[in-house]
Amino acid sequence: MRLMDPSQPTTNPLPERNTIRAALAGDQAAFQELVYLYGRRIYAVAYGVVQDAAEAEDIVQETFLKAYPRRDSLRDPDRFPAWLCQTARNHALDTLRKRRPIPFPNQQAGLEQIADDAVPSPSAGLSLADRDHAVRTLLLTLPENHRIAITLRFMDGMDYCEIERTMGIAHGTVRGILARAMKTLRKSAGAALLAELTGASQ
Amino acid sequence: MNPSIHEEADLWAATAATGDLTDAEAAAWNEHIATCAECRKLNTGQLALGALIRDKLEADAPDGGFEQRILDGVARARTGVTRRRRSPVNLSSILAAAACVAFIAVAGVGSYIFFRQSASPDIAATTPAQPDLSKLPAPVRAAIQSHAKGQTVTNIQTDDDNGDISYIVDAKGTDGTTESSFTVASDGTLLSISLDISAAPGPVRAAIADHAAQGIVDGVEEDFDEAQPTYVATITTPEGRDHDFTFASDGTLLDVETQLDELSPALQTAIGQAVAEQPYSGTLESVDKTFDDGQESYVATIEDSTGHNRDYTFNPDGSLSSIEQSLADLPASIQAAINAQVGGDKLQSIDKSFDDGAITYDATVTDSNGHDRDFSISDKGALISREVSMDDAPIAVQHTINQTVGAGRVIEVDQAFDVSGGGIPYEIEGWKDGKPFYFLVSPAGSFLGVEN
Repeated sequence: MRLMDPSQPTTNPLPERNTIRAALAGDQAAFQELVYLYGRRIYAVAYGVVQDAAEAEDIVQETFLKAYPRRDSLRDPDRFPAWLCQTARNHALDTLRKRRPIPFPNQQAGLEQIADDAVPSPSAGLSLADRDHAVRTLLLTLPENHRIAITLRFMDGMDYCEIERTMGIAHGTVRGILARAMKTLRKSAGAALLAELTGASQ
Repeated sequence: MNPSIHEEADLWAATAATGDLTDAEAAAWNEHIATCAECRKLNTGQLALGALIRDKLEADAPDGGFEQRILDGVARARTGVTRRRRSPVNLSSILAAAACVAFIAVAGVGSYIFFRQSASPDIAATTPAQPDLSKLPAPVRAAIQSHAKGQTVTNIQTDDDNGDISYIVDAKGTDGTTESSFTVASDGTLLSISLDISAAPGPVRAAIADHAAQGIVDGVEEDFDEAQPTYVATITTPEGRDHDFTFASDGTLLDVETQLDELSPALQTAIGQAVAEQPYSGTLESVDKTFDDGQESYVATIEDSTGHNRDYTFNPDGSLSSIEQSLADLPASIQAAINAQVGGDKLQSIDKSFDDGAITYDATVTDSNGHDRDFSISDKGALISREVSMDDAPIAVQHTINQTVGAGRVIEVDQAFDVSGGGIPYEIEGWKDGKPFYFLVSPAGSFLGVEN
């Protein structure tokens, strides 16, 4: 199976190029428009790292606060989305670093506990809290860039080109990242949790 | 059953779960799972897992008022206290420096580097005569009220060092002429405070006088960022250049802030290349010439355009000695090895070092008592050494260390490990007669010799 994106690379400039150019030149209204254009994808990037809705929203605000005075350092509007998202990613990593204890990969024990608790009564299904915890724990088993890609795809419904532009990664790599991420998630979930999920989904 | 699809079934199922199969691929996959129970089960599990994750992420997506909240928050924050990005260590020089951006061409690099000596003015609110302390976190407010007792706070600026926020406070005495500055962390801890040179320890005063030569001492600051206080003297040279000199309390010179054009061509080129390699664009924040362990090295702090600072350490010949790293940047095996050593302490920094052709990861953590300790991990993830307190070393080892150091002092005790994780000699860094020295002690307490 080809893991490369079968779609053609886009060479079109960003449709919002003029808005970005105006914002970079100091136009306040254009800068506000960028919040509507990019706020949600920045949120998805931040959420992909910190896995917390409130913290992700704080990071979006901080990213725009940081971005405005630094706009002079970026001349190319086409690089603005990736630059903005890299700023959000860095800030999210700082947030994660300061949060103690830091949740790191290899949370398998937690997942197995959820599954073990759930398996005796599959018909009851997982509680909402268990599902939230399971997803959060599962996503934390992924490398950070896989987690961000999955979040952009599922939360924001982005297509491959948008994800590549947002993450600043090479064309044709997103499909492989998403597939490997889903494969990792399935392996991390383990048989018991999958049995619980498929039982609940029937 | 399609053997080629069956062989890569996990990828087909994973791609189906993200909704990314093309029409032709979906048809082939569906045809296969119709006749293959194993892959059908795999597909069902993967789809259920995908749905679980999609549901959770969609539930946590922003609501309709999200953008307006962001705009409101940005507007509120931009009318708050002023912000600046500069190490609190260099406070004196910032206060003395004119607000300017000096562009310095770097020969042979083909790009421009600039030193930023003041904050971007865009985010700065007007400086109030008496800032509103009520907007600050309670521990910061309490610390400011304590340290500025009997004085009038004239300005508060925030400093953002890779997410670590600190508050730089300027205050004036009631006579209106005496001025002071201090910096507090977000938890209220005092990080630094300006002091009159007469209040500095005698060896520090002597060292400052020695280094000031024909220059002018603009200010002295006591820093509490390390285990032992350090003293930063801002000295203006006769040529009108500001340099920050950092001294230990015994007067030992720890580092000197330098300007790029004062460095050798090899160092200028190496630093320029490091700046040019930053994604999008980079800014050289500062260069410090350091004398750690008696060895001269140059630490360039480079900020990328996303606001992230990273220290690059160079040898005098321009070769790269180490790069500061984020945990997330490291391979999973190194992350795991570092996390195992961090335990419940706070990870402060990680440096990827290139000494002697080998790559090591040197980390510093701070425990709950505020004590720093270092450890090193090999590029294979093995623990090479870790700093221990004297109390943690066997009594026999402590005895030998004390005997060897004599009237000097112990700077650091490291426990080294061999490739199998077994204990090998303790490595001790001592300080005697104004210079560092190193020696080895066996776990049984035998003196094994002095290291070069």
